[in-house]
Amino acid sequence: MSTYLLKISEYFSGNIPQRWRQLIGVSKEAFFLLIFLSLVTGLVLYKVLFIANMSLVPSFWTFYGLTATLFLISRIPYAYLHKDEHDTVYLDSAYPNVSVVIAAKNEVDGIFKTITTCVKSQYQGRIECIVIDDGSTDGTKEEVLRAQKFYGKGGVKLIVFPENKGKREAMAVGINEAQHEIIVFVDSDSFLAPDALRHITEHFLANERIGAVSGNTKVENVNANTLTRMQSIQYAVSFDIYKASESVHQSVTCCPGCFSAYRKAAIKPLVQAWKEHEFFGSKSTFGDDRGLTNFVLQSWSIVYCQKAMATTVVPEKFSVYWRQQLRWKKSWIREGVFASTFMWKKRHPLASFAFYTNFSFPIVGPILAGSVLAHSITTHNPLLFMVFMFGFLLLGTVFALFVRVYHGLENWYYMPLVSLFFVSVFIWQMPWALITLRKTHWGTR
Amino acid sequence: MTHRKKQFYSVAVIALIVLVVILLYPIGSNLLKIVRLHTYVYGYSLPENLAVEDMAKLPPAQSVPILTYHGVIEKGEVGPNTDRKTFISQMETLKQKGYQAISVKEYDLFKNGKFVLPAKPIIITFDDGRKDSFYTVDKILEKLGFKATIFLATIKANENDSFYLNWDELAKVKATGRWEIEAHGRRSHDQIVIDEKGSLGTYLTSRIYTPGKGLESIEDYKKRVEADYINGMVDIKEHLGIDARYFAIPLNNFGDSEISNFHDDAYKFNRELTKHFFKFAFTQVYKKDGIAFQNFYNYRDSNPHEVKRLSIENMSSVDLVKSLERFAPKSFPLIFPITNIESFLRNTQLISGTFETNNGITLLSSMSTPAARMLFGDQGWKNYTIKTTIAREKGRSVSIIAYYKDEDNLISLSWGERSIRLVERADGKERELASYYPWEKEGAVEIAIYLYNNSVSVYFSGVTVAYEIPIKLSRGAAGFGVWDPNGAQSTIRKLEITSLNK
Repeated sequence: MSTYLLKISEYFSGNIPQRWRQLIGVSKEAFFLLIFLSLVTGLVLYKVLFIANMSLVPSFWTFYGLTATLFLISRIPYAYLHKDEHDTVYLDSAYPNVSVVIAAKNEVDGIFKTITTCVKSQYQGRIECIVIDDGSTDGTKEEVLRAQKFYGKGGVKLIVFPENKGKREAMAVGINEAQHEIIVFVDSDSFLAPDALRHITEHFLANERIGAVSGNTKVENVNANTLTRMQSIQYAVSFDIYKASESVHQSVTCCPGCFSAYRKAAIKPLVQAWKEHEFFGSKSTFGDDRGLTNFVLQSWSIVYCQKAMATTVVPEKFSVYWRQQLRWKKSWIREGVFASTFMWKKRHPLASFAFYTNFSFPIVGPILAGSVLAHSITTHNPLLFMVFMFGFLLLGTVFALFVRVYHGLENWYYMPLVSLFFVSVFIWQMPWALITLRKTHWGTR
Repeated sequence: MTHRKKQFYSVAVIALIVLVVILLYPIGSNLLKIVRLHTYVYGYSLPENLAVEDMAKLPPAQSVPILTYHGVIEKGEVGPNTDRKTFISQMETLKQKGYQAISVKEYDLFKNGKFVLPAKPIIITFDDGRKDSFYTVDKILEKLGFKATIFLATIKANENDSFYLNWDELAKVKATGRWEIEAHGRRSHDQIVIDEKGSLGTYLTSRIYTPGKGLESIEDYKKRVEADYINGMVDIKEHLGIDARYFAIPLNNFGDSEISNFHDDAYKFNRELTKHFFKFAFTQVYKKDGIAFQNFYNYRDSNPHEVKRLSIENMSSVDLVKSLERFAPKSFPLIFPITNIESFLRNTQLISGTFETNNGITLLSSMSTPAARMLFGDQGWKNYTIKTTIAREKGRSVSIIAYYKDEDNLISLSWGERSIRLVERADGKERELASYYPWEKEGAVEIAIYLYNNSVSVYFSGVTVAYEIPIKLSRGAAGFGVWDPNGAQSTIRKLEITSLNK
């Protein structure tokens, strides 16, 4: 008896033979793959059934339902077929020199580490790190100076704004200061993986039409609390599904500020226009990343590099997260409207289809969810809303499982919670964002 | 994994998924049906303060009003349908007023003396078999304890048209026990081409025009129309096991309205068929100023092939109550002149012509409506006396009507310049009961008519025109009519209708 107990305890403490562990690992992966495939099949069946049973009288919702379904389900094969171009082996001398631009405001805690991960990257070319201190009032400047002492003035440059001028201005100055051919933007609370710069620049080598590359950002403080775990899934789905799919037609619509690379030749002529870009008479302060991507996307291709990994610190408090999401939604609307004006003529038809469909979600989504809910309540029929939610949860779970199976996402089972949270809270931010669109102050800073 | 391999895998997996989806589709489809049956049902909760009138002490009714609905809709243009909020208010009002919904079957039993009606019965019917006749309605009926009948045009269920209830759903409708499903033809609502211009007519009342061949023969027409009656019944029997014995006349049209190229014959033929196949045929009455204009109460001896229904559409519950009260069985005595004109109007019904109520009831006919007629009381009246003073002012003929059921069943006492005639019309056959000639009098006449135990006596300005002459009819409303091809006018100075029952 005691020997059995011992064996069991050995099993759980991990003292089991290598062979077993491999077997368990493989069967675990196979198990997840099987669940994933079953759920995808279930999702397709669910959608097919609803489409086949839709009213024969064509209405806006019939058309919209079809479009949305086509878009959402196609994300899976798209994401699967996304190809991260790293087939060619380049000479070390082929790698271009890189200017890393970091705009920082009151980031005393993280800035040293951010600079370190950039400077200490395993990279074949030269790296110059330009830090713009955007009127910090804490010890950010001192931290950068400390880094300068560590890594030398040639490696770390510091530009100080005596007062806060905004991130766009800081980035613009960084672009002007940049000496090298490739400019990499890193947020002051993001940290690069050692090989991130190498992977991201390989895309520029592989295809000279590429003007920008989005890195793959994960959450640094995943295990801080439930909120950060949920955000880690949100990040994973938005990068490994949405950006990966967009990348198939080389039309990634947002190179996030936390970690992206641009060809200097692509952005240099656009800097002024981007910096002064206005939306209905109000200056676009945030949403700088999406804005810059839009400018580049009009004449260059943009891809997503799954291998170029970085991590970023996400809000741990709900209030901060709420403000960040509100800001993102505002820039989504503003830059989405901007992108709508050229996507159809500048990009691949399928990429445009995906863009316009995706762009409609935050606008039509609240209306749809609201009307289903209202209908469910006025007709005393909770099942109606439950069926709607079931489809929504199923879709979310399929996406999360995809990332679990192909990119090893942990915490994927938080996805239903994320979906619930989204429908109950964040979907309703959109109307609010629309109303307050012209208010442009930052929330998290 | 190489990209080519990946592409191969995706194609293989997509193919596999498509295959599995195809295989699972029937199961999923059934599952969805079950879910849909539940998600489509619109819930309803009884209001807490729904006070229901106590009907226990009232005697059983002798007639049933019948309502017709089509769809009960939550949103969109109302048209001939009923807004769900209005429907709820109509049903709750009926409940409050003490109405009890009975089935058509129960009315049938009542006609045969095998069912005692509640004090305030009502029949609720839905035409065509639309989804929104059931899912938006059923919970309300369930909670209020009401019943209803669907008249089903079966082609939609046969074709699985998603706007209409399909056979699976109809089986569920039947299983609730609240719903009767009866006949409404199969293709009876179809539009057909009826002439070379491509005009459209209705399926049952027109002959089909085929370019090159011309109109279908009368024989073919009859075969086609008869087949549709039979097919409608066969479909219902086959899928639901119901022997449909009641029929709602499609589009309320037997060839007498709408576009037809075969008016009179179609009317006659359809009448024959409904009489042949069905115990009841349901028609609809007219409305005016938003409320019922004709009687939609049906009595024990009402014509079973002209059962009257009121198409209620989006009528407010106030107007519904007005309509119901207007034609509700009346109580004796009815005396004129009376002070309460409102109550007088509630007890009268103008069939044609116009009338004034200034210093007497003046009934007028114009050239466009040569005969004018108004009724007092209702079809359930029996054993009563009519005492009246009438002045003929213009026109050839004046008449007092008794035991009026419809134009084919009535007793009429009419007089002109020279003669008095008392006739009975039963089932359309006219029979003279008495006459008086020559007769000449200017100014007002005083008349008394006694109707008691299937006999009639008439006293006309001191002359006994008839004394206890046996009659076939046994009940019906009283009435007043004037006639002249160039317009007529007479005035009732005094009117008193009193019961001869104790």
